[in-house]
Amino acid sequence: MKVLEPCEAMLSNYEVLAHIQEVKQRYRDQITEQGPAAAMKPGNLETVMKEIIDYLATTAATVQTSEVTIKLVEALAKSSLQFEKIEVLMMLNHLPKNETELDVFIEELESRLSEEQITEVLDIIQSAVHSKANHVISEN
Amino acid sequence: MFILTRLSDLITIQPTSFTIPTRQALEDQINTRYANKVIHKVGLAICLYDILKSSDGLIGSGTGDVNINVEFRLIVFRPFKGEVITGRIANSTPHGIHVRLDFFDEIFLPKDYLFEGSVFDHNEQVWVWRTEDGDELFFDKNETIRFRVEEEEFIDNTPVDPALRDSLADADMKPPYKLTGSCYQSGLGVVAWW
Repeated sequence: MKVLEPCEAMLSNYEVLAHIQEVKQRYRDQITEQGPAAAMKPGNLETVMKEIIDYLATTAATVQTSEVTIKLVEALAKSSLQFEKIEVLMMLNHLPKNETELDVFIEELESRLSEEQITEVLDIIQSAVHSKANHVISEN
Repeated sequence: MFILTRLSDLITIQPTSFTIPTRQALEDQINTRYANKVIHKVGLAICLYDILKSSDGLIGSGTGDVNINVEFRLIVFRPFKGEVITGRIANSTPHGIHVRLDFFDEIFLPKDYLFEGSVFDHNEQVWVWRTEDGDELFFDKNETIRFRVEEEEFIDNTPVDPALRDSLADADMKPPYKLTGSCYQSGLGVVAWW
């Protein structure tokens, strides 16, 4: 084994959940195509995939879709507020609801952002949450 | 919280797996080897993300196994220092609070890293944060808690003589990867508080 690049990219919780769900779907398709024997997967893999899904089900990742996520990242990363990459990542993973929560993810929040800007950021995040909720309702 | 790590490794496919498409056989072998295991100084490997390159298979003499050099990427759990993550309170001791995620248990919040004014209630076996306003907030078991990652530690366990393994208590086995977290800023602590 050789580690070529310890950290090539960072993934958001949503991306990890989407990847694991896609893998699970592929394995389910294999059962119908090739029979149950082909779908026997290593036990350690089954365990960790189930545990990751259980964990991510308790986070904001479950209410996210790829379009909304991309839109939110673009809105935060391209805004004039100059967030660090890791700050955008944490906001995406947690979707803070109020100023106290936002303060945890952004260093020196009060000196970097004015009251209006804080409200604006919270609005951007909330609109991402709500557009997904509306999307689900319209689908039903 | 999660990263992508690029690795290369020599993967062996046994003749019994020759009926399976090669790509699938490689994926299964890589997952068997890495899924849910800690890679030293890298993090806890979750599963294969994608395969980037693979060499032609070479058959080893005597066994019939096919050996393939593969370059691939894994999803790895490795929160960065300063990252804020959520977990659940597993248990509390006078030394601090143990936190677990569904897939990872080795997280500890030492008592010095808790809110100022936190005390341990010996009767209830929980930590209580007495705020300046005189409120009492409880770190109850199984509550969802938000904390900041402060330190990480990798321990390279040397293999143990199989003859001695049974006599070795679980406590002597050190976890290969553990995190230390803190909880002393507004917005951290039990999520329901804020």
